Amino acid sequence: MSSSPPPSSAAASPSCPKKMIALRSSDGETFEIEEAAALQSKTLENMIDEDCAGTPIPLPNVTGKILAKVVEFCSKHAEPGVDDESLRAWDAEFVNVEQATVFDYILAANFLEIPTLLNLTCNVVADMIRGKTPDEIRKFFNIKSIFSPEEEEEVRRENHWAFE
Amino acid sequence: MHMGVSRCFPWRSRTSNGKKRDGFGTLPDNVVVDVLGRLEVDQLKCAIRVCRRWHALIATAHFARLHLQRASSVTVVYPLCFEDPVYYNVGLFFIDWGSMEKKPIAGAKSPPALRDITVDRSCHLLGCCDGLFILIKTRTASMYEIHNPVTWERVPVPHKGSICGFFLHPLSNKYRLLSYRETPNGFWYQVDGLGPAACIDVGMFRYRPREQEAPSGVRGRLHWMVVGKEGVSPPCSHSIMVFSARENAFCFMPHPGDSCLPSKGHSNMHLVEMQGRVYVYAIQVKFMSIWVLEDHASWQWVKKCDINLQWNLNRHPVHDENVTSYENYKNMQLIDIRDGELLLFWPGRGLFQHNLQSQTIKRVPWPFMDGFGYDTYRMKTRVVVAEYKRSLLSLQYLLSDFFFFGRKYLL
Repeated sequence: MSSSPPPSSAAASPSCPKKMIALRSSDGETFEIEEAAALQSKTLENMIDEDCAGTPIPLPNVTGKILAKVVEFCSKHAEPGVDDESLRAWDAEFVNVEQATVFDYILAANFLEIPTLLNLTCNVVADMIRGKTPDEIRKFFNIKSIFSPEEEEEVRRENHWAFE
Repeated sequence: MHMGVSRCFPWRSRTSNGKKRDGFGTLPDNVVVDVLGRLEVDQLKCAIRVCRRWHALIATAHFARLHLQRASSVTVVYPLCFEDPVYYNVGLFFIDWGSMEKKPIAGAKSPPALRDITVDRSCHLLGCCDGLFILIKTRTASMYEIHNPVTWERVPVPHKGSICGFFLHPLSNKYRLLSYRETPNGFWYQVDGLGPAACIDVGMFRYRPREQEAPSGVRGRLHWMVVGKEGVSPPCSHSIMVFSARENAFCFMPHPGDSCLPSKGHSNMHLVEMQGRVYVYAIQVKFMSIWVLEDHASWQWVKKCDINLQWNLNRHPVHDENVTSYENYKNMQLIDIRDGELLLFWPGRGLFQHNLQSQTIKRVPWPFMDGFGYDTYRMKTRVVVAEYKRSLLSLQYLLSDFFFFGRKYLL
């Protein structure tokens, strides 16, 4: 192992000299992500600016399983030279998962403020809603907070145009 | 340690028994609004009935406006056929350029279709703002109406003046009406809300809008071609009037293009606000020139195109042989501009689609009008044009503006 000469008068740059950022999930797993990929997340961007010590950034709201996928998404979207069409295809595959996972992605994207992932996953859920009747929507998403008969009547009166 | 996971995150129910969890229950309100805001109006009609939470989130003016921001607009046209002193009301249509969204195959584009929107035939369209139509009742002077075709709501708005603007005030986020009244010295303008709220005087000016329309403005500014008392044309330098909603003030600006001959005035020039831009078009003998306002601050207009209207007149006969060829084009109107295609209304002949690149012109069928026969294409036909977006903005949200008067009229 050759010893490299110390960096010559490294100007005190505000950004971390290392290019990899370490993240720790809620269940204790550690992940490494390139800085360029991490900058896709506004939350991480702010944290990176503040702390360069190199200790893993704790993310108590995201489990390891989901964080792994989020790292994958951000890394892919930070890759240079990927054309639009293949990226779209990759995105479509990425969200081709069960409903519960899509919601986990949404929560992670919301917490980490990743606009591209949030946009993608919200569109997926909107697509799930399209074409369904109110009853089908309730069943599909297992929605519990439904109306009492009196409430339903009031909604019908106030928004009768929705019941045509 | 591991047992703690499900305790810390109770929303993560065990999936081992196959039961689905309520995914939406885990999302904060702003995210649910983000998802629902992507749905079309028809789908939101279902969504609003799903549960208490969705209803509470959707049935607000805030959501309606957020939703409007994502929505794309269509152009609605309202042909007004008149033969002094009577007006003929044929209905309200929206232009469906549906086929335009697909990638064109070697220039082959199917023509747009005109679809009928049912609207009370006793009203004329003046304009549209955020999916709300403003109409004037034909039989009753000074009676206006605000109508949302999605929510079926219509509220009468009696008004002493002539309404010439209907817009959303950018600072207060309230809807406002701009109107004027003729006085011996000129025209008195004021702005007020939708109900008997306080009105704000703007001032006395020499000119009024030339056409009976109520634009909703582009970036907080409304524009009109104007005339003076008794229909006298203003000088070219004062031919366009601009109202700034923020400053509650008018300014008068010159129209683009060359100065007009004093005898002619600017009757051949027309202004239309379309898809967030302001266009002026002028018809001079055989040409139609179209300008678009690029920058308001510097009042910079850019010529969009010059169209040679020298078409084969025999292909589109007009039923009034006494007109000269100049007169033929004079009352032509620009109705829509999308993706390099213009839609032109030619009184006496019909609707035409003009491709800017290939310079080709085709007639567009307008079944309802065509069915009426040539009478509806009489020379004195004018089309009112407005931008429309299907909107969930219920007039109930604006109830405070309507005060008590409006409430009992809400259907």
